[in-house]
Amino acid sequence: MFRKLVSPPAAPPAGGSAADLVRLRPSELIALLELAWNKRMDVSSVPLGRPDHRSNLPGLDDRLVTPLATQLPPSFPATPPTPTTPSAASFVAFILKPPAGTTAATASVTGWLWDHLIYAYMIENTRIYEIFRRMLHEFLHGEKLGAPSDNTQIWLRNTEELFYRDGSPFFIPPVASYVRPDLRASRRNAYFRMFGMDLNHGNDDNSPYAYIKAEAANREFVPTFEEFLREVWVGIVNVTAISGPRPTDEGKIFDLTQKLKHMLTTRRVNGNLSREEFAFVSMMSWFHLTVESNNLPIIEDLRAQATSAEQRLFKIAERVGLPAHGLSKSYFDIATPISEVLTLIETDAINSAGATTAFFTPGPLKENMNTIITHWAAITGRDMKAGKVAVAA
Amino acid sequence: MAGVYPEKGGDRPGDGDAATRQVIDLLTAILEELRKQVKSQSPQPLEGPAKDAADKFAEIHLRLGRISPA
Repeated sequence: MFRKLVSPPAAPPAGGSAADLVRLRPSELIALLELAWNKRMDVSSVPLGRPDHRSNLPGLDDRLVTPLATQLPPSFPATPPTPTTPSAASFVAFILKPPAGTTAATASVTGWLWDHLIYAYMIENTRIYEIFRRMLHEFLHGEKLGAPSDNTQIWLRNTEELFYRDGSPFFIPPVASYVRPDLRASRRNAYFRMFGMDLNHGNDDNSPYAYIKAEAANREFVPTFEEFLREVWVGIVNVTAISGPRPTDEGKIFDLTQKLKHMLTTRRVNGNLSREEFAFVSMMSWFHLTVESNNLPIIEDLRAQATSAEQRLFKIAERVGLPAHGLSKSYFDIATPISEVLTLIETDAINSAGATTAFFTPGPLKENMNTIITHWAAITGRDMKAGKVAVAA
Repeated sequence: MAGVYPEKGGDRPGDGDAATRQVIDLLTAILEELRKQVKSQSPQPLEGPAKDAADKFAEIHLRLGRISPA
């Protein structure tokens, strides 16, 4: 959620810069998330839990949240932002104008989507949450990393307030409670239920992390998804073939997308897990945004400037003595494309074998599939471009 | 000296006899057919349900508000 609020260079204007966003007050940041929740896609004719209708849980009323986000109760006169207190107003304005659909049927429907839970899973596999936890620990307990600058102190306060403590009640994003006090265990529980997968790391000493593994979990997600990737790769390779048999099997690709859709939407029935997904992808988006930017005070204070997100993470990891995953680049690169593709699969857009040609015909969707196939193979060690081998009995 | 080097005049395309002309015509026809096949087998613009899926994907991309890494 946080990354979408920030304008990259030479892109259409979003809410503002990453440097401004991370210097807002924690109350403003939580209010921005609450507003984004309120402005989500909400098409009542779509079954509850699907991308266009993720949840019916009401957030705090906009009339309460908007003044909190801008720190301006309606009776107060507006004060211009100063260099030390950036304004959330531009971010609020951005969120309050969610995009309309691009087709005739959806042109009148406005609303935001948030990333699929797989985004949080991929980003967290870099070990970024644990590395930043260790960094906070060092900054808050001594000066091993040096004395943080005033702007870094703002980032540290925001990060601790938002993601390393029980959140404020009555808001949507804070999901910790007496019943589920451990956020790390809550995230692993959600990943396991949705994808049948645990994170690739346990505790700092590499012992397994204890969490509740629900009985109802999509244990077939990985083999089904990998078969889907293999079939799409066959389509990509043969889309321009001009002779010989045509091995692309649109019917099988369609069948696999339906299996994936049914298992994912079963976990989401009635909007289940939507709030947790929103909270977890927002959390990982904050950390992702931090290492994506070269000019944030925290990056400068840690002397972690580099040319890419994973290199910045590696530098921070080295400073705090907790290694990041060696394939962090692949995790960063796959996170957004796989989030978009699984979101698409959960809609009703793939409704026939004919629709599956969009996965391998040149275009943005095929580019996403190429990226996913490449990086999934890297992080799993299983080649998605090789044909499935049948083992003789 | 004329007996040492082979006559090369016949290698020029314009100087071929009837047999050479036939080979050239055959190769030209094969190449033309190949060109037609490549053209017909090149990915066509998406239409129908595939286009709808691609449009939905574009909309998801827009609503997710994804930014390219800075």
